Amino acid sequence: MLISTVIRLCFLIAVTMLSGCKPDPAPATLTIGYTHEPPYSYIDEAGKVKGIYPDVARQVVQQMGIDKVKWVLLSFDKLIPALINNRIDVIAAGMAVTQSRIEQNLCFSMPLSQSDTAVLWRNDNQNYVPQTPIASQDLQFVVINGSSEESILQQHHQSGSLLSVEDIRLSLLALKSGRADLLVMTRPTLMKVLHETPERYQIKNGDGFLQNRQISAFVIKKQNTGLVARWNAAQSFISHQQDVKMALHQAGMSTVDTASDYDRCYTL
Amino acid sequence: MRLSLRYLQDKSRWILLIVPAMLIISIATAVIFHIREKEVDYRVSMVYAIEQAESDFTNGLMHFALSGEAESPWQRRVGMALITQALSEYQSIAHRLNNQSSSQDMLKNVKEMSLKLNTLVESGDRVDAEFREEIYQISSQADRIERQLAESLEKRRVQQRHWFMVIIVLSSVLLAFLGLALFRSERYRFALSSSLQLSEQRFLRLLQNTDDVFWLETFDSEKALYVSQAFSKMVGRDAKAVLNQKSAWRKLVHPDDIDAVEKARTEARQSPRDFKCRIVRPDGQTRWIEGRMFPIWKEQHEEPGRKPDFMASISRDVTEKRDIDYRLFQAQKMESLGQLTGGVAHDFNNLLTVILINTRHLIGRLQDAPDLARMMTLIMRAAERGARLNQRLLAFASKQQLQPEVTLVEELIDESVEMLARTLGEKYQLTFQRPDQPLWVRVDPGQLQNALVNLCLNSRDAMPDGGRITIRLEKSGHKKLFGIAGDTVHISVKDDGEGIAQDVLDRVLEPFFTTKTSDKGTGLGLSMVFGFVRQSGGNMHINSMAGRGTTVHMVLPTCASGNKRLPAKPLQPTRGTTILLVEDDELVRESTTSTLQKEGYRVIQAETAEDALKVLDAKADIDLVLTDVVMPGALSGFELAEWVQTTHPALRILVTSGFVGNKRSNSERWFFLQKPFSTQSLLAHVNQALNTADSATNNDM
Repeated sequence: MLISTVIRLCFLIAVTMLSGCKPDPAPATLTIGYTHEPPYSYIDEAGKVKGIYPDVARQVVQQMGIDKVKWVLLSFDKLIPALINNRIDVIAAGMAVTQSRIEQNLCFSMPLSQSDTAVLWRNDNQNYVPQTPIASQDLQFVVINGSSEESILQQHHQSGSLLSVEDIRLSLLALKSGRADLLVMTRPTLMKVLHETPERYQIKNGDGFLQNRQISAFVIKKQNTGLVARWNAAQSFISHQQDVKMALHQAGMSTVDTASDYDRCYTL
Repeated sequence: MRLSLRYLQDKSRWILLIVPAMLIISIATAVIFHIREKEVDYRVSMVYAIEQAESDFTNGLMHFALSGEAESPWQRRVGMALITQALSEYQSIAHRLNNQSSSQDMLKNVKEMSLKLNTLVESGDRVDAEFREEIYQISSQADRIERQLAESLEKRRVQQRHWFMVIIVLSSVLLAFLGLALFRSERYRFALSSSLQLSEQRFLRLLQNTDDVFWLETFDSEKALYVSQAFSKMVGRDAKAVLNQKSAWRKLVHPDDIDAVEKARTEARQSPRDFKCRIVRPDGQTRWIEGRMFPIWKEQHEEPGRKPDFMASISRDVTEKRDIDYRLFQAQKMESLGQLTGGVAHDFNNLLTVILINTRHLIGRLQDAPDLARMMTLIMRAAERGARLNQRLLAFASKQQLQPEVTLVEELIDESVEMLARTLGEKYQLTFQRPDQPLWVRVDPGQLQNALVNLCLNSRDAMPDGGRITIRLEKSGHKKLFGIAGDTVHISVKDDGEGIAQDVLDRVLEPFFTTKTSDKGTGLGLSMVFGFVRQSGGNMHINSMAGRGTTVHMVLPTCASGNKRLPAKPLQPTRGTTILLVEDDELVRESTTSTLQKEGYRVIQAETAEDALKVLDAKADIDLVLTDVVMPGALSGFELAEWVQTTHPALRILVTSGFVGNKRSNSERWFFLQKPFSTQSLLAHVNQALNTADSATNNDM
């Protein structure tokens, strides 16, 4: 009698405790991290978060039925740590898909855009002429800290010839001060810089080892499988819209055609 | 609840408390760890959030402060966004820590600052000293908030520690109670276990030390659960045979009894059944087994018609008991036969007494008719033979009176040897080894002869193909022989027969024990010899070994008197003596009266004891009362004798009876005459009773 009562009680407690183990519900508020790197993501004059990725992210979130989005501005190198430490849920900064990032327990959504790597230099730089091979060890490079360009350059140049900075402002200061000859970034971003002060800089596509085409996507934590599936499903619907393709084209980017497997992370 | 409490009153069930207690402790521990984990996660997240907010604020300020020198117009916007983001984060942290005053102050300053920043951003002016002061104040305020957050976090940590300690203490108390309950439960269980073990040992010892065989089996297994050790002793086979396959009992039971046992087993499934069967031991010996089978249910109160779970049986070897019962039956039969024989013999005694008295009387008167006298003599001898036959019947019925006499043993054995030599036949060589001096004992010579005959016949039966039988008579040289101290005569009868095994030897003196077939012996021979020897003040011992013959030793105390047994002398009747004859049998009464009157006695007849008392009251010149024992009326002959002894102490009393059993222990106070008696015996006893000075002498004649 007593034994059966105890067993029933245990069963009831177990059921009650296990009842909390439901599939992840859609979060009421989604926290999206971004960085100031136009045209991927940036803050406009009114202080609003703008860019290809924030715009698509808003539509995706709306498609997912989430009402509230909290935007967190971070430097590029702090985006991944913030995602790992649960400060943000999604990175919407046009982050390129690389093997090293995949191995960091990150899940890339369906690719949204692809773009080329380019270099920027000051017109008044005496140390560099366009005919100089980029592979020359005499050149000094500046890159954004944590970027894929930094990884590429670290494989081909000595650490003394490579300067990693936090953001574009510091990289331009490095060019201005003569500490670096070339700024290596994606072509859309450098085109934005060139567009603001076209008389001061020149730009060209990367050649040799810098002749690289980057595929960019949103980034979600790999454990957050429910969000990955829902995000991919919503994004596949959004990314095929004409206005998105148009915006990508205007920003100097192109679309990427991939298979629609919503549950899986994108890999190279 | 009341039922549960009553359930827990049994200390052995306290162990069940462990289950809920363990559950509670597990839940409490899980909750503690969960809280702890949450607390750690919370602190990590708070610290991380504060660090991030501080970093954002610092970066924002840096962007803002250096915006005037920046070459990109969006620098101030980034700074503004970072500062706003940091302040929002601070506000959120303050909300989470319930510390809103700081955040509200902060927000107020931020709003003012935002306006100035926006103005500066829109105007594109450089940051002046006032604005730098504003940034400094906000930065200080952020530091203060950070300190407040840290203090709040510490306070929360202390609170959590207190709660944590409370839970730990409660868990410890619960654990202590649990340990106590477990200890008590274990102690009680140990006591129960010890008691059970002890009880089981006692039970097993009981089962192992009893001759009864206990059997326990289930119906759904071919193996027996338990068979006690006595099984091997009773059946003569190892119990493993039936333990591994219980149906092996069929091989043990006598084929004629298998059906009966099977039937009892079937019926025992419903209710207890007695069974009886024979088993055949490996040595071919058949033993009788009796027992009882009964069903056993696991539940104390079995449901009607429910199949029992076990079947048990208790059985025992009753072979010896059956033998004893049979012997007892035989003994009772013999006793009944003896009583019947005794009664018949009594009546015959009276008839023979009449015949003997009257034939002797007639023989005296038929001097002139020799043919008639010879015929009468034949009648008298036939009556005497009938009397001897009657005496044997009385002996058979154990009603015979021992009549010890001072006897020369050598002479008596000589008479027996002569008779035995003829009886045993030529195959047997009977030798008598004589003593070197005459030996006298006080025994009933007839019984001693009977004893010798019995022993010699036993020796003959032990040597069916013939052999030597030696009777040895000697005076014992020991101070004490076979428990008899003093001077003793040692008579031994030895044969070279097959001897007696030890287990049989231990029982040969028991009544009715015999190894002979029923047509050759009753088992009373040695018993009667032993009883006679013991009654005569001696003892008997048997030495024997299988295959080496048997020697029976009889030890009798010697008698100092050298008076040899002599034939009775002619009697001298006393004239004028008055005898009161009390006899209910008319024939005996008349014959006796005639005999006594013929010898000159004056006889007064009485038919009953009451009549005799009337005569005694009326007449004072009576010298002797001669009375029968068994008579009709209120008083028996003994009671009459006792009455006369009391009222007329000078009177001599002679009691006559055919029953030795009628001879009382105080009979030495008067004389006794065994029926049937001859004229000579009657006159001798009457003469002795009248002429003995002291009436309380003996009655040995």
